Formats: sequence, C-alpha cells, structure tokens
Amino acid sequence: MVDPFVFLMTDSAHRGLSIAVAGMLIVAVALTVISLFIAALPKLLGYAAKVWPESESHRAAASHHERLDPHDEVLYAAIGYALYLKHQKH
Amino acid sequence: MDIFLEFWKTTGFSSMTFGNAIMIVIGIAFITLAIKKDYEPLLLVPIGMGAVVGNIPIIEGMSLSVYDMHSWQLIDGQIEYTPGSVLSYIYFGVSWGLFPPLIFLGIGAMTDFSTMLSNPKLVLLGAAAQVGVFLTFLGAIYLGFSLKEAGAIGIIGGADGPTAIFLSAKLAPHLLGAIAIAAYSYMALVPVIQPPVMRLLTTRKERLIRMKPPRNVSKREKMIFPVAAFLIATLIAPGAVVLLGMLFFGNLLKESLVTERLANTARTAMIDIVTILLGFSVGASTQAETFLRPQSLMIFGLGALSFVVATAGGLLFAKFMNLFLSEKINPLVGAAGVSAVPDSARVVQMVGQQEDPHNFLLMHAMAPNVAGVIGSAIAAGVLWSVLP
Repeated sequence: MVDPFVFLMTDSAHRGLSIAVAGMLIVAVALTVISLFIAALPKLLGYAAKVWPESESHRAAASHHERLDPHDEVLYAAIGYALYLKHQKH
Repeated sequence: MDIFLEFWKTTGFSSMTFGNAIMIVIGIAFITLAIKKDYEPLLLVPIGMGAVVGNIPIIEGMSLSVYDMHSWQLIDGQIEYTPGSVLSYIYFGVSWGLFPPLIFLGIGAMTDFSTMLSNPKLVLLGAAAQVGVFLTFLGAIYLGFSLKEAGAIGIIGGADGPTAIFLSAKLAPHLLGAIAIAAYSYMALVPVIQPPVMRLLTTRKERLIRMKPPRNVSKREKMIFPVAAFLIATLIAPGAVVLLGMLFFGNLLKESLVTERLANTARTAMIDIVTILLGFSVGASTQAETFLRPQSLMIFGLGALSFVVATAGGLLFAKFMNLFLSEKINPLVGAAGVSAVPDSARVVQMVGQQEDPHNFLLMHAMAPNVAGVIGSAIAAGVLWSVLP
C-alpha cells in the first residue's frame, strides 16, 4: 500500500485528480443544462403553441389504431354489445 | 483399460482445478440468489449459468471457450483461417461493445421521462451520484491500477451494467469479466447496500417529507426531450454519443407515437435476446484462470465502495438542495441517482414507506434514477475520450 502523501506526488495521481474533477464538472454541467432546458420547455412550448397550436397528427392517430391488438378488438366488441343491449332495453 | 484411462484424461473431472470448482459454486450461488431472493433474476440466471458453462475444463485442442477467437495465420505463404468457438462469436458482442448500446435502445423504449420532465431540479441528483464513479476512479489509481483500468473500474459506481461493460470493453478488456460481474452483482444487491446508507445519512423527519405530485407532461414535451437532451449531452460530451444516441433513439421511438411497433420490439424481444446473449457470454468469460486473481477482489471491494459513495453523494446533495428550496425534497430520493433502474427507485419507495406507509416516493425517485442513466453514460463518455 502506497503512503497517501507519496501517492499524491505521483504523475498518475495528478492526472487522475484532474480527470476526476473535470469529469465531475462535465457531468454536472451537462445535466444542469438539460435541467434548465426542461424547466424552460413548457414556456417555449407555450410561445410555440400560439404560432402552431397542438393537435394530434394524422399518423399519431393512425398509430393508435395500429396499437389495437386482438384483445382490444374483443374488448371493444364487448363494450359495443353491452351498449347495444342497453339501448334495446330503453 | 488404456482406453478408459485415455477417456478419463479427456473428462472434466481429471482437469478440473480448484479455481474452476470455486467459479462453478459462485455460478450456482448466483442462480440460487436469483431464484430464492429474486435478486435481478433476468441477469443473474444467465450470468450464473454462463459461469458454470465457462468453467468446465476444456479438452486441449478443442475450440470451446469464449477466448478461442477465430484467427488468420500465414503458413507457408498461404493464409489459413481457424474458426473460433461458438461462445467466442457470442462474446464478440461484448468484447466489441455491441450489446450495451442495443440494451440502451431497449431501455430508452421502456423509459418514461415524465417525472423527470415534471420536476427538472431532480436531474441534479443524478449528476451528484456520479461522484461515486470519479472517487472510485481515484481509489483504483491509488491501489495501483493504470489510468485506463481505473476508468473502467470507476464506472461500476454508475450502477449501470451495460455502461460498465461498454467502457471496460474499450479501456480494459482483460478486466471485463470481473467488472461486469461486480457491476451486476452490486446492482442485484442494491436493496441490501443502499438502505443502511440511507438511514445513516438522513433523520426520521427528513424521511417523512412528502413531495408534491408530479404535473402532467404534454406529448410535445416528451417528443422534443429525447432529441434536445441528446444534442445537449453529446455536444458537451461527444464520447457518450453511442450510448446516449441509442437511449434517446429508443425513447423517441416510444414517444413519437408513430413507431409503436419498433418501440415494442426494442423494449421486449430485442432487449430480452441481447440480455440473454450478454449475460450468458459475460458469465462464460469468468474462467477461473482469468477471474480468480487478487485484482478481481480489489475490483469487488472498489465496486462496493463506489455504490456506497454514489448513494451518499445523491443523498447529501438532496440535503444541500433543501437548504435553498422552499418545497423540500425528500433526501431519500437522492439515493436513486445511482441509476440501477428501477431497483434503486424501488428501494427509495420501500425505505420511505417504512417511516410513513402513505408516502409514495416511487414516481419522484424515478426522476433522478433516469437522470443517473444519462449521467453515467456521460461519465463513461468523458472517461473514454480522455483515456484513449
């Protein structure tokens, strides 16, 4: 085991320390900028919504139907049948 | 009789070493932990079985181990090709760093960044927990590892198995087995390692803090985030482009709403296939002669330390933030900054509910948890770029 004071005098310790400090700073800066961007995003979108109002795109709406699996269809058929029976009663 | 004696020499019993036997026992222990204790079974079962397979002594001259790579040789002016073992072709995905980005694609396709988008200050906890990576890096240098080896060992503190494998494949391939096993073992042991640190560094009053429920996040925010966050992170740290590119690509597949089939494949079949291949081949790479060394013990020690430091880093930074915030953060949430998704968030929920059964911290903990994934990928990118 190397004496900690001797270790701190070595080149690898100097290089390691500078990499560790720089690395920690880079990670912190990157995530802070992402955090600031996220915080500003609703405001930016608020301004953008005045110019381009948000609406569900045709493709997005279509993809919802693509996502229906056979179980969904069975479920919808069951709901439809239940509604039909309800209307029949009235 | 001679035939039986010759046959005996070819059996695993005759060439089994004490190290092989120990590694087989470790493999079986992993499988047992996964089945009995439910510790990361999706990883520990393939790794454990891989360790058992990889430690059956190999018959001389037969190409069976993960290290029996294919080769080209010039013999008498002619190029001769020797094929590698089947396991070596599977291990190719690990040694060349192909599997980790594919796993990141699947993680991206299953990750919901909503809680992080609804409370952006929690992102900072994901950054604070990366202190575990860099302090472990320094600790490894102190113990005599080279800078590259120390970089690969340090990333265990990111608590992210694929990132650890990716970086060690690039910086210290000879330590890959030990680093991967350490990273995944400690990820499996998150429910054991984290709670004592969490209780030690927080008061009961702090553990009882309730946080405001997260706000609703619009579809547009979710769609814009992966592209914007990728640009920000990789323009600052270009070394993270592979891992973060795949992570945010996967998330864009999920959030764009027009590629649901691709997202579904990425988060189910694809990630499962890659996990099986990665886990099994990493396990098979832990052959006794390459794995049972004093270096591996030091890596395990440093790995445990890195998890503790990373957990403490997130917790203490949450307490520091509370000095300036009017709406206090429950400091337990900081422990989820170590990434290990979603286990560390679950541990936060569990420890929080031990104090107050009606306090639901899981959603809040997911924010630093996914920020930790981004943070550890950036840390890996930084280490890879400065330690070429």
